[in-house]
Amino acid sequence: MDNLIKIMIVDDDPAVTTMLKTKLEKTGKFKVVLTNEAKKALSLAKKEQPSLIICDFYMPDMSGGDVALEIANTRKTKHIPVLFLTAGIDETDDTNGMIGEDHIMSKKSDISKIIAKIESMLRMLPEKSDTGIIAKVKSIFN
Amino acid sequence: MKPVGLDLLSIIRKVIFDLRSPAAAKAIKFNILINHRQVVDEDTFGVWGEERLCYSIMANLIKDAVEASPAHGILKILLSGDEDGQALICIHSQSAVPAHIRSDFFEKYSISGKADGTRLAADSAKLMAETMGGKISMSTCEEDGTTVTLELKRTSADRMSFLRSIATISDRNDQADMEELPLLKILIVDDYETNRVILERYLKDDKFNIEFADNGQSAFEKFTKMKFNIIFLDMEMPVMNGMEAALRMRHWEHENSGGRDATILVALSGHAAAEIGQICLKAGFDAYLSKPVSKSQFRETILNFFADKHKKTPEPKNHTSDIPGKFPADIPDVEIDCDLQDLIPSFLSDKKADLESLGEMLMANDYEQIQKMGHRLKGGFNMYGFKFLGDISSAIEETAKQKDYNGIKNKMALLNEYLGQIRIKYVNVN
Repeated sequence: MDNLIKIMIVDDDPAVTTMLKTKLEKTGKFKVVLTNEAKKALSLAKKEQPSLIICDFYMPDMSGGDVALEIANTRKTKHIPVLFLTAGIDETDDTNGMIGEDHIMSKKSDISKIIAKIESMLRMLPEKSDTGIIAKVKSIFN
Repeated sequence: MKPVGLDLLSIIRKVIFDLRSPAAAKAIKFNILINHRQVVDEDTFGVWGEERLCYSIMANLIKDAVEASPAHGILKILLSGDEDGQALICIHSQSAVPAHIRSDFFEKYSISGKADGTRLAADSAKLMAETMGGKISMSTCEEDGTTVTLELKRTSADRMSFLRSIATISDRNDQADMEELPLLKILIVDDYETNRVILERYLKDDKFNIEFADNGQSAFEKFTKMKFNIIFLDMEMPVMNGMEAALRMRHWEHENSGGRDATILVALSGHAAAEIGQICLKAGFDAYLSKPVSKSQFRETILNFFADKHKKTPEPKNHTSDIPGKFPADIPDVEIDCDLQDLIPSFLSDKKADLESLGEMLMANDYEQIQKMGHRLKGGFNMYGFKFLGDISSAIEETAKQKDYNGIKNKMALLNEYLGQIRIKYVNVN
């Protein structure tokens, strides 16, 4: 069993998902599952059980907000934090951006900032005894 | 660092605004000249640089000049240079630098105390100037005072007008329309004083009665005591946030209307997501503006509600006349993460295909799809590091909202031209 943290990416633009996958996997800390169809996000999250989901906001088949709502309302996935990545806000005010309990960043942000945000969100995961995610996060980031 | 063409004059104006308190305390006046003539509101001064570095340099130099100047002094800022040549920015104060630190003025530890009026922490400004390929020098003598000269690369007028043309909201001259408005009573509610001051300044030439509040509770109390025509409410405030205040105001109006017209409520929020706007509208707001709010957005919101002719015939904005026919040739190489090198050829090829699709959408006058495609292009270009292409795509998205056929066509032509000319330099960002 590898020691990589699983991140799921949901974005209708394959260029974006490919780029993020490349950069995240290059760190040696993450493995990435992805979908370019928002409607498949929930089933993929249920199956893959990622530690965190990066989700676009404006997608043609379903909004990112609705994806996050489905994730939050499903027993098997409600513990998974969501980081919205959107072209709809500027990078200047994204550092601590929140929508409800979800985090939001601009697609203008440097990838290093996005990765730093992912790592800080993973560090804040609540203690869970059943998945071993926390132990994995601690072994990688601490 | 990614240099872009930017308007240094607007940065200088912002610095002066930010330094208004220390300058006022010493009754210092600013005098800005471009090529030996007094600046006017419409002036710009284009340079190549990085916005934050330019702001920091100007803030350092002007702040130090303010501190060094005698009370009631005049601080001159002289901007000169031919288009596409060198830009010279001279900051002149009437005090001389003390003799013992003149020779190592730009060295890190050459700072003398404020007491003698010459604390010039110029070393950081020098480093920042050099980072942008510029340089900085100083001359001083007891008779003429001190002049610090910054040299940067000048940007052409074409480039500046292009930048203005892709601004998401055009700064059209609306003064005549504003003057036709009735005397309005306006309440600006924001816990951050700077935001209140900025919004007030957006209306400085208009005869409105403006009141302020720094939280929702205080705004609600004012609202119950007097009739406002329009209230701008920040969404994130202590004590009571804008959403709760709006709900209370609508409830109060329902219970106590007494023939009073409903007040126009406009939400202000740092979140630009459309969903937030929809929530605000459902909660009783009449409009929603995402921060930072530009002057034209702010004024246009007021016009939209109170100027009859705007209500009846909203005229589509036309950016066409602002757009140069040819893309400026002095665009620097785009620095892209070398980890993405393998992905770039297919990425750019896909974007060219997207641009063709955009053309088909325009032929079909499908502005909704154009808006979506503009948004998608914006996200993709920004993620890969093509920020400038992201800006053009953003302008396409905004122009599609206005259903401005020619505006979209022109921006697509620029995007196409830039994609054809683009030069990429791969860099290691790790």
